[in-house]
Amino acid sequence: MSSSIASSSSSSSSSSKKEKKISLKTSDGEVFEVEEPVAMQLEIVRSFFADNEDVTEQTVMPLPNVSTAAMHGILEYCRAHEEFRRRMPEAAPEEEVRAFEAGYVDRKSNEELKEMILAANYLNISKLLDFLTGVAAKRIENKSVEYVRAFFGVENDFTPEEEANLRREYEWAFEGVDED
Amino acid sequence: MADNNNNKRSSSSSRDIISRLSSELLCAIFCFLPFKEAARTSVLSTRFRHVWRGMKKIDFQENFFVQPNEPEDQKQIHRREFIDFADQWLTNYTGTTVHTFSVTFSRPGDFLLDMHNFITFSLLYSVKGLTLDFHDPNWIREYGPENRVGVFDLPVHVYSHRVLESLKLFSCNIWVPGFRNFSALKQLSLGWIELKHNAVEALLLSCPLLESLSLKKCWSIDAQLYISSTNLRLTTLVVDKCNFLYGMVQIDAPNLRLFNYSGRAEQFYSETEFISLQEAEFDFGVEPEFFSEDGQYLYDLLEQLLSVRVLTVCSYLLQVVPCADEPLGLLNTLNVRHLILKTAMNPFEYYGIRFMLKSCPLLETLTINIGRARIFHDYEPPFKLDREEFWTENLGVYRCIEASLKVVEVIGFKGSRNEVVFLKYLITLGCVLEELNLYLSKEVDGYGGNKEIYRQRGQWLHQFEKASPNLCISFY
Repeated sequence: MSSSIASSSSSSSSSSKKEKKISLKTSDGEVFEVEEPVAMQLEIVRSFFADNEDVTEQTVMPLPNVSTAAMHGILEYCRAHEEFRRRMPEAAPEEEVRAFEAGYVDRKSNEELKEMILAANYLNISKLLDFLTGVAAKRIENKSVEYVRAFFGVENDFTPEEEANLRREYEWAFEGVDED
Repeated sequence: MADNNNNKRSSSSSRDIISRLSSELLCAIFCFLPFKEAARTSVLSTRFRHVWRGMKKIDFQENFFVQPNEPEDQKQIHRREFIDFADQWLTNYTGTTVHTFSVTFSRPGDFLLDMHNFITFSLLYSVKGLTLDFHDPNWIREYGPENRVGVFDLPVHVYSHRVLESLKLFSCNIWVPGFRNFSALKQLSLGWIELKHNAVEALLLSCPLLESLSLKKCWSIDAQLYISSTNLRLTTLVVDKCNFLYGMVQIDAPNLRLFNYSGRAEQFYSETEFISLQEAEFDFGVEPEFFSEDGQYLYDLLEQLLSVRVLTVCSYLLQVVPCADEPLGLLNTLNVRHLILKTAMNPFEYYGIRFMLKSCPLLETLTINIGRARIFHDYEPPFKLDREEFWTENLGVYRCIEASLKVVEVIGFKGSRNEVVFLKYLITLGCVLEELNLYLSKEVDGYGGNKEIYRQRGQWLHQFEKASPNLCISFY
């Protein structure tokens, strides 16, 4: 469903003549031509164009902290939201948005999710960042310490004594938790 | 899910990511976790040890430390420990602002200074949402201000904190004129407090941006509850077991989108129609007796809900509404797409269930939420009630069953006879039914029934001839 939204948005944008595009270059050198209203959802892009008067349509804005893979994900989300906004400028169709968002993150692995959180943070898209951090939290909620360590890719560098002490200090937080 | 093709690469890049995920970003993730769970992240690694101390969402709950049933002397020790913990946590806070601050601590009488310190802290850190819950869960009496000593007065300096957007105060006295400063307030919840004459009207006038108002177990000895239309932004209203003068609740809020009412039935009325209402819930479970006169009253209430898409009704309504002059269904049918029935699946509710099915011809989703309900022995059915054959004999097939009902969900399914015969009716006649989702009850009943037995009973449903070829029955 989500892909149909994305493709319908790109086809509608290609049919509307000469919509202004903005070129964004990812860390691995790929250049994305992005419809202006979509690109402007990226606060970093919006302020770059607002603050620099000498930039032209030909300017390619480098985004050294965003990978091509993350950029694809980011644009899919922003295009879908632009489409929702275009269709219903007054109020977003909440159910549709929810359905899109659910399908959208279901397909993302934990690694992709974290990569996109970094990208959304760097690009300063607060709505997307809020949404993705919420999704990350859902994925670690009610999970064991070991699972959460694996999720974040951290190694336990406490000594067993240190960890035992900490767990004692936070005993109240571990009550009723099944450690697996 | 993760990148399996190249495990080594994936784990090294994941380590790379974690070093790039700043403490602030980690806190942003933790903010979506319950506070208790966020606390557990401190044992992940040395780097995570103090990360959670920067969270913008702070939620201190007494029950982290205090068990509800422990002896009084133990309780006092644990309350002290809780306060010390919170105090220390705030001392070591690493964030720069606090988004929401919440403290749940019953009857704070002995710890007033600590409470004041907590509140002052949150104001210093520009809190936007403040929750102070001082009510005692042991207050089992539904009504009456008795035994509610030592309630807390909201500190005066809170009233000069103009940036508050959300305020939730339980068993915490307010000074109504001070609300004039809360011009940014969007959400207000009050619970377990006395509201003096005209207080609610004054609050609505003072907070022009208010979108959501919730009153839970509030009372007034000298005023009725009057929700006036002066505030056109008000879209959400919850009135939960309040007790106002004569029990009267008058609603006059044309832009309401969500309305939740729990309390007595006959004394609640609305002057304007609910023209924008999308979602409504009515729970008259506190009604002590069966008043057949309520039937017509509830009939009239339902007729006002023309715009509602999601409707929740209770067992009392199901029992009483067939006492209306029109016992079979509304003459002016509703536009409800999702109907939630809070029911005990007792035969005394059958006519009411039929009434609702007939009144919702566009229904797409039916949720049957099975739980305890007061069943009235002096119930008078509108016609003869044949408990055994009610869902098999002389049945009208309603439009929604034939044409629109796609999803049926049963919450708390036990596979009792009453449940099964009703579901049989839906399965054998629901032409467009796609999903029947059974959420098995976790309760162990007096006859040795448990989740496994309920599941086995649910399997019986497969025997019935399905009217819809697409029907899928699932268990949860």
